[in-house]
Amino acid sequence: MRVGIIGAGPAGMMAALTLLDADCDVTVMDEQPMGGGQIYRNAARLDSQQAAMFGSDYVSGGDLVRRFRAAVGGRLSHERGATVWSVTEEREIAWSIGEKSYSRQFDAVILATGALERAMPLPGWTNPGVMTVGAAQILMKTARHVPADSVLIGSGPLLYLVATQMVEMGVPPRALLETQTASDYLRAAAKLRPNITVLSYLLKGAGMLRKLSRAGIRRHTSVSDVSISSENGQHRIDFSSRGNRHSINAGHVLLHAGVHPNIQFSQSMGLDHRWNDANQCWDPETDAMGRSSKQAIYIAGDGAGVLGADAAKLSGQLAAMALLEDRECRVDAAVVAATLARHGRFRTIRAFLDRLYAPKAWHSQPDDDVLICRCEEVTAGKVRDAVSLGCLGPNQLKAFSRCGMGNCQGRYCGLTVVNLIAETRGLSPADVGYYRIRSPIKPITLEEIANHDIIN
Amino acid sequence: MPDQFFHFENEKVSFEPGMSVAAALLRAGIVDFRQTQVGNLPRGPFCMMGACFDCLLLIDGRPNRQGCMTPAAKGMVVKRQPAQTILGAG
Repeated sequence: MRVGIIGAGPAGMMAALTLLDADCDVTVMDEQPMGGGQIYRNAARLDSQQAAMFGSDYVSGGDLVRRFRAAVGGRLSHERGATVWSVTEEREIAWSIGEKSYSRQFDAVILATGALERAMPLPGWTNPGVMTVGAAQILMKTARHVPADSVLIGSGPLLYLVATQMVEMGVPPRALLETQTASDYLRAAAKLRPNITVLSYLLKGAGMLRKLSRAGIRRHTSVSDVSISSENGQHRIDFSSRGNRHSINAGHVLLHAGVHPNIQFSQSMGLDHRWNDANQCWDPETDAMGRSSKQAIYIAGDGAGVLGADAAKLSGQLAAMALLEDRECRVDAAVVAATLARHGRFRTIRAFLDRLYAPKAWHSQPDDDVLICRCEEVTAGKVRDAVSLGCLGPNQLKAFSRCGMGNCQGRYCGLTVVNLIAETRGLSPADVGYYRIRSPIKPITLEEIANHDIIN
Repeated sequence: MPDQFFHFENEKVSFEPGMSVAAALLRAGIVDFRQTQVGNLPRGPFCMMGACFDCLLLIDGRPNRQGCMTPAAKGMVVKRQPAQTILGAG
């Protein structure tokens, strides 16, 4: 049996290792030159002292990447630097490496394409020097360069993690502007159901906050109505916090409003999705093991619903075991049950985090003059105008405005568009639907498609 | 290992093996990579993981190269991408 896995993050690597143990032929495709995904980016390359600055989770991620790398050869092939541009429900995958494309038929496909950071459209968010918090972390991991004099804006565990890593690397951020409010804390606390996973998360969180406090990092909470103006590489941020207006200067501005599944492939294959009201995003419909709505297509890791890297490893194992079960291979039922139970514990902490760091209306429904489509430079006002002229949904909006039709193919405007149309039409996002995503899901030349090699 | 260099506009930009062009430019303090197609406004890297296409550059004469996905190489000639570049033209 030949299995294609898209994505070499924690879920993809664990799925591959599990299938390898069951004597399957496995091909893993990933855009990066090394396994690890974004979370363990470069983890196997850094020396132990450099890796330690990113924390023990990153160090153990490096061990997993090395284990995966050691398994490559024989029945496991790792296509590095491979941009997958098409996956069909007939399980044909097409990818590009160094401007040469290949396609291959598989018996089963596991999508392990991870998550994207939620867009946080606000005035000035497209200025050079304004990036996502995750982008800054990639820069730290791959170039050991910390953007100096940064102000981090938004909310969520990654905001604190990257801020503490900046402190650790000797370039502390200037301040954190946090969007969660006192009532978010109260409502989130009501969702707490203590178990061992929840406790370890809370302890980690408390440890990060202590480190930031010891380093003297200024934290503003209940932040709203943020705008950024940039001149000569310097940024001025105006914002409200607890009812007062403030302004702060920064060398770099880093945004983070949580993460949501990257659904480009699952949408392009026509798999079923459901609106996740807690995390305000679309999740692909799967069972607890990762079976999608179509046969022999599985989804693992954050791409199936955001639960974090440790859950993604378990989810990769589960998807592989589901695949083996469906092929009537021998799978140890006790291992399946134990893995399901461990994986389930991450849902408890996620309910708390989703509530505490829920996206705010002021950035999911921005003012009329704010750009929401970075590629085609379409404002929120233009979307509202289109709706008032009779535009019913995201796909019609393309004809009205080109919103979502640029290079990123809706990755960073899709959820904002859903929210804006839902708000303007008085519908729920679930009723608005999503962009119709089509292959090629990354820009590629016609010449390359025409000349692609079919691998048997 | 000593740093190697590529060219960006009229500057020499250093990099270590394994770094992307975008990471090397950001490390050198360069954040403005291109002019946007509609508004002709400056734009730079946003996601650093190949998803947003905001870090497009002219690399060795070829347009629309993703700076964050292109490994830096010795002697590369990298330029800011002007607004009127057509996607896919090369």
